[in-house]
Amino acid sequence: MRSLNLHSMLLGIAGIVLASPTLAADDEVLIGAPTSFSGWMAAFDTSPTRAAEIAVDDINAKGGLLGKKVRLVHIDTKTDPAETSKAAQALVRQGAKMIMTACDFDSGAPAALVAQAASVIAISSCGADMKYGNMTIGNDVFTMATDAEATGRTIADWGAKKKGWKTAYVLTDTFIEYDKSLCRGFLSRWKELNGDQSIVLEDSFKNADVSVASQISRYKDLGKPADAMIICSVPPGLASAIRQFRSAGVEIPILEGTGGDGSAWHSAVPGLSNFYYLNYSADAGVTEPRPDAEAFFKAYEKKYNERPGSGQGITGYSVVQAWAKAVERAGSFDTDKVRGEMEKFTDEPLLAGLTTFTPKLHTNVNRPMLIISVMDSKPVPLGYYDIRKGDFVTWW
Amino acid sequence: MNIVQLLVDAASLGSQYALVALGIGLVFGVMRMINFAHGDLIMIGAYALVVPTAADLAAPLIGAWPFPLLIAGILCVVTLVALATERFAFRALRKRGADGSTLLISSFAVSYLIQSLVLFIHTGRPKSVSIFGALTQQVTIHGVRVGLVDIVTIIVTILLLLGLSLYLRRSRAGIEIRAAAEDFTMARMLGVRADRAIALAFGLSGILAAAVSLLYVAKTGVLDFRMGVPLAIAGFVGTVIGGMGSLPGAVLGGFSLGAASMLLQALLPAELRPARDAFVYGLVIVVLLFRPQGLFVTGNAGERI
Repeated sequence: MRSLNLHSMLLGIAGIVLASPTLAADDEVLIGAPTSFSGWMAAFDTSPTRAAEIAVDDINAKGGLLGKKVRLVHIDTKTDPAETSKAAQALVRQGAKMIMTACDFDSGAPAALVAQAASVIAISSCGADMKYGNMTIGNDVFTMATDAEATGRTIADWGAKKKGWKTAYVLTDTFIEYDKSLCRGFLSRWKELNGDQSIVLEDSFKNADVSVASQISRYKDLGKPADAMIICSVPPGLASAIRQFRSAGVEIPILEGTGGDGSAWHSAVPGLSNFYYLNYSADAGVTEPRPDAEAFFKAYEKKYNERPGSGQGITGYSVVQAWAKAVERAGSFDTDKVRGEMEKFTDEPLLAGLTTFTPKLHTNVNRPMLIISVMDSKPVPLGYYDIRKGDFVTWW
Repeated sequence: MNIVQLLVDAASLGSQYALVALGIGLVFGVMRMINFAHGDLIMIGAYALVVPTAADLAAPLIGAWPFPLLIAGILCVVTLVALATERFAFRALRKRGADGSTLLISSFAVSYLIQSLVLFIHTGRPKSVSIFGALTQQVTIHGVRVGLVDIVTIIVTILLLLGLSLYLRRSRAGIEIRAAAEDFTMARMLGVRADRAIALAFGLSGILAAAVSLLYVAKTGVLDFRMGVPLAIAGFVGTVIGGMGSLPGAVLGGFSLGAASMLLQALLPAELRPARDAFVYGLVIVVLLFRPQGLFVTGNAGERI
């Protein structure tokens, strides 16, 4: 009995000693970021997490939040679900008032589960899976992303209304959920606008497929070109498919969701043209129309010596921005109060774009997105397109 | 649907898989070992085309060299890595009499090591590079579209198969490789420098992997640290259904696997197409039930390569 007591006492002391250096001080409030800086998710988590750091800098430069300094604690989760869960638990124990989760549902869900269980707000940067926004995990979980299906509806709306395209060929990469949702949204909106017969062909491929020759042949067998095609995919499969379609002389406009962002893959298709995709903001090499977003890119470049390679990085800034706005309006860090304020967001002008949450929906389905056109490998922003207006909008 | 076009499309994947299977078949024939890292040798060859950096934008390195130097450069890099894996990961195990399954585990370790290194250096974001731009063109013959890169892949595969078979049968070094493959101890007793023979076989498999690197990137333009894994699996399955231990068998097996995959992609109804691989590998099981020795093994199947 005595040894047991001693044992637990020692454990307790060890726990205090281990935990105390990182516990929040009275004059500061902690935000936890269990995201990946190594492993394959690092490519998707690094710039949102850095963007969140800049948001924290901005808040502290203005005197902090409710009189407290904000501190972001990042733990590298190494693209590993077990590490992610462990890191989130450690951050919650340290007293984090908000947990930023990964730019992908499968990678971020372990952290969101921990946060929900501890009644801490969890916000994903660019995880566009509906499961982040529809209470699958619980009502403390939000995402700054635009829902994948809504993204597909937006690009369809733009193509049909602004370009007047009537017929479309839909090619879905069946490997990733995001892409299936994207094409589903595209199909439903395109048919609403142009009729059921306007989809001339639906086909699929897998991201790792070396050859899309039979998809090309099936399309060519139609005998006449569609007005446009959408390839719902991400690199490397996206780049490989476009290289092969263009090589086969298929020159029709190609549409894409946020998976087409960044110019890193453009070298696979020399002279890439007639390609359109949409995004939250400009990516490196594209001129950003919004002054506040442009100021963010300058701050990012100053701090990290480069611009975020992907236009999705900006969502990380808004993870902190959205939560901080809600905290200020609630006048409290209390989870229920902060959640209540976030659920009142209606076209809230955040850096990630106009943001609307409701008690039922913690993701965005009607957000204007930046449409970018690529001609001769040169990306040019066309403007923020709002599906509700059927036109480009400015709100800044 | 044009039947000839269908077959040409099938060949576009079949030819890539055939070349992968040839490299895996060679090492299997010599060492009775499935070199799972063969796919990662292909990946290394592809990444050697660009500057090693964590930056998103990949600037070409060897990929910017003139055509003959580019080929020579990639052949050198991949061959050296193949030789290094033999020297440091497999030789010691072989000397201790490790069996094929131990060597297989070791090849998994090599595979993960190479992938982790590339992930560390290049990050997980896929990169891209365009080489042999002229090969991306398509020619139309009697209404049938054929990609130049596919024609070149088929020619290269046939030439490498013939060259390798001749080398193994006619040259002294080739005969030594076959002797070491047949009975390692006996070969040594008869004066064959067996370590050298086996290293040579790995070097040859490196050349075959480098050929895939170049043709794969010419076709797709993309680099991904995981790109080797599906290729290694396809090459391995190709060797098995072709008949283990036969080089022409491996090539035909790889070709059949790729062609079957493309034919199913073309012929399956739209709802079933996402399940294509289930059909492909279901077919593989059926083939093995009826021809466990492989599809293309003939009378002299006693020989290992």
